[in-house]
Amino acid sequence: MRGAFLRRVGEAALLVGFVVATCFVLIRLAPGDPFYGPLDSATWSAEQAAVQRAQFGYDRPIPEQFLRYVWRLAQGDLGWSHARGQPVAEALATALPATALLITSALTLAFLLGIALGAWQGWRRESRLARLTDLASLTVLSIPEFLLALLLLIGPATAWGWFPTGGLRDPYLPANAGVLLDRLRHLALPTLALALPIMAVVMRLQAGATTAVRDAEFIRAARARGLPDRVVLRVHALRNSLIPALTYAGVQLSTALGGAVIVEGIFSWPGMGRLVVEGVGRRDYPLVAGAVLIAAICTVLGTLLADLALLWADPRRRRPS
Amino acid sequence: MPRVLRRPAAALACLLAACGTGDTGDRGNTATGGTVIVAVSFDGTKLIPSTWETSSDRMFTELLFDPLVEIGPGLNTAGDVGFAPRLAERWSWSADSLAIRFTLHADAKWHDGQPVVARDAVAAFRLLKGPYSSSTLRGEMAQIDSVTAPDARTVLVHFPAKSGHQLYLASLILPVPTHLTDAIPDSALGRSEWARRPIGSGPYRLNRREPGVETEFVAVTDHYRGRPGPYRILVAQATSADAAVARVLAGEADVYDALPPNRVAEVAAQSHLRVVRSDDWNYAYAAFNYRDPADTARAHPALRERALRRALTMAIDRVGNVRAVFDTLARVGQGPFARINSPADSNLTQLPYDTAAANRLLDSLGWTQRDAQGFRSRAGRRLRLRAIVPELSNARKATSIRMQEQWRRVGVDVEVQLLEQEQFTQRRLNGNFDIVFGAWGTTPLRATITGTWGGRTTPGWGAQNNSRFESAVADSALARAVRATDPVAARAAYRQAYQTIVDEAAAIWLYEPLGMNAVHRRFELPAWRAEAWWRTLPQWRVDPAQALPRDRAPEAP
Repeated sequence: MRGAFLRRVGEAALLVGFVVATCFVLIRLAPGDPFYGPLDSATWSAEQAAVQRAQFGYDRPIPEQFLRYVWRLAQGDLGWSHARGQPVAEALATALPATALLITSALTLAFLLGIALGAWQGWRRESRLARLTDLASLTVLSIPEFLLALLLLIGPATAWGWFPTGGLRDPYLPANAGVLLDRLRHLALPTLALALPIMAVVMRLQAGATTAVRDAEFIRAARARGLPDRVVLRVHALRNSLIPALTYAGVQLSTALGGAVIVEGIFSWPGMGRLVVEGVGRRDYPLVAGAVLIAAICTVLGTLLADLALLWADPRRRRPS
Repeated sequence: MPRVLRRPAAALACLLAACGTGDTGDRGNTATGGTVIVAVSFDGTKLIPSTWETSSDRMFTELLFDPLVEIGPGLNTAGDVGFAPRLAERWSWSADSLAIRFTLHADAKWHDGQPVVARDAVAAFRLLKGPYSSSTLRGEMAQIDSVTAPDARTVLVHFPAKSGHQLYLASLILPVPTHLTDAIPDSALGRSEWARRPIGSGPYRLNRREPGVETEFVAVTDHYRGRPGPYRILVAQATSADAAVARVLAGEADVYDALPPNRVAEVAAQSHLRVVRSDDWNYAYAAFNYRDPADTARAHPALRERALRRALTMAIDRVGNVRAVFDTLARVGQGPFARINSPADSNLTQLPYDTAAANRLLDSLGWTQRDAQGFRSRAGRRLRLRAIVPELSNARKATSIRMQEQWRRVGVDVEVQLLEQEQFTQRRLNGNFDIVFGAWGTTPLRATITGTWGGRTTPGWGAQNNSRFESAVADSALARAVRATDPVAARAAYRQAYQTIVDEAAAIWLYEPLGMNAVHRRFELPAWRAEAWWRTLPQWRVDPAQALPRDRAPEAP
């Protein structure tokens, strides 16, 4: 068991290293560099760009740059972000909690509501309301994520003024206003934009799985024992129908990170997604490398957590093969 | 400006400033307070004078640091008419006009209470001109010989030669606090703690900053020019122009200075907002490459012919294109300048929009054979050109598509290539294009044109002349214009240079966008300064009847 765990960790480290190295090389092969932007200015000279490039070592061969990066990384130095004008570690330390909050809220909402609604929908497959929720989930799924986010921005935020249009908080909240309420108001739309598409998938997976176990023998046995319907659903059917949703959860962290890029952009949410877009757009090599490193570690950890959840839900997986 | 007139002009400028023309601030004004939230779609990353690159950087820097003197609203750079005192309370010219002596304001001090001294200006010049300067102003500093400090309150700026914009060049020097920067090596200054939390001399000090999110400045209440109006300036980054507009529409931000043309009507319809129109420093062009993209050492196989460039220009309906893309929110380009530039000349003779003449010219050049699609060819070679356009610019994209169709009508096959910004810049710098849809941001500095359209044979010129336009006549006129100290002579020389460039059909002058700014109605504004609107922020006032809760937020400790 210990050996298997260590092997898994080793594989994860290799995977993270491979992803970081690939991004490190790819972004340097793309046209431009961190000092290309000002070259669009009529008064900026190529000579100035060359001096800046040399100062940060971007004029050296890519393998040498990579070795220097690894050496500095080993010392805990992620480099200097040109796009943000601060150390990369600081930029990540600010952005990571914001994205973690957004993704955690979105995934929690998506899975809790998705599983609950899906289970109910599967259990009451024939009811009109269940068919309506099925149609609603299909509708959400058919709307592209960016469009959904834009609709939320245009309607509830800009046109009706129910929610703020972006940001984490109101910078000048009156003293008598609730800080928690303000944070929740800012969090609401980005969370919904990110959660709704995931929730729709979870609902459909859960509904299918619940329908599949609804007529199983152990359910009939539970009913025969005279257990109330909701207890049968909650205690017996739900746990046995969770596998598809939990398997799906394993890959959702990376999907949610991808979605965060769009949602953070639309709602000016100061998280990792926005940081990466800014870093790539401005060819901020150290920022991109740092963000990819963190994202890769988070994804690997997320997958590991999902595997553990599957072990909890399915005792058969705990047995050695 | 004749030397004999300089002293009286400087004295007059000082007198006007002292009489409260608005240049010296608002000492004694009681209508202060309030919060201005500025939405920006690109956050500033450089806060100190020797590093700024973008307009957000410049806004941050100019809120935090005062210059020695400031150019007036008329943007005249010749002589010293219109210039207002800032850290320097007065100035005088040397007998040979090759040096300016500035006397620092006795009350000027840094935000930490230390007095501003002459060597702060010396250090600022050294940093700005030095190898580690990332400022777009670095090139201009070559026109200043040295800056010295004969005593603590006197700054001497020396010039290698007389030019028409010496005082303006000196105004670009924003002193830095040497009592804080002396201990930091020049190479490390840009990443130092001071650069991230600068102590400045301007009307606002940095209160807090979250890079990529927001930066808050608060008023220096005991500033030597008087207490600024709004107490707080919050610069909040939105991720895009649309996100910034959404913030302004929702009342979460008060100012956005880059309204896209398609959002102007929507903003103007809001009762809490006004749209302020202003001139703009940018002009867009479609330049023809004089060199072969495959080998820039050779002349371009087709575009080397002046008549072909003129035919391609005459095939384009510039007025119609501007109207279609911008409606009334831009003006038709007239040459290598924006109308806000002081030597701009809107009376130049332009090549007309005349497709019949364009067709005749193309026929006369031998591009007579037509294929099934109607495209012209000569000696079996189709008249096919590649135009590069930055994907990010909606206006240039729309204009290029219209022009592609207009060229098609005269039988010219133009392939429009939409490129990501960095790729576009790389292709432009390498000369890998036939036509480049570019845009230049100009400055009050008249010499900017030598970098973009000046011939590369003149030292220091043509660094951004990517289409390799060369004209001895234009270069000679530009050289005279840059040297001229008399505004009339300078204007005449510029006119000759502009007309030559237009006649040569070096480029098609597309448009000059108008600046569209959304501003909350609760502010009483002074005249909008197109070149740097934030310079008047200390004079903004909040109408008490319309004040918002954020205007009453408590002052920072």
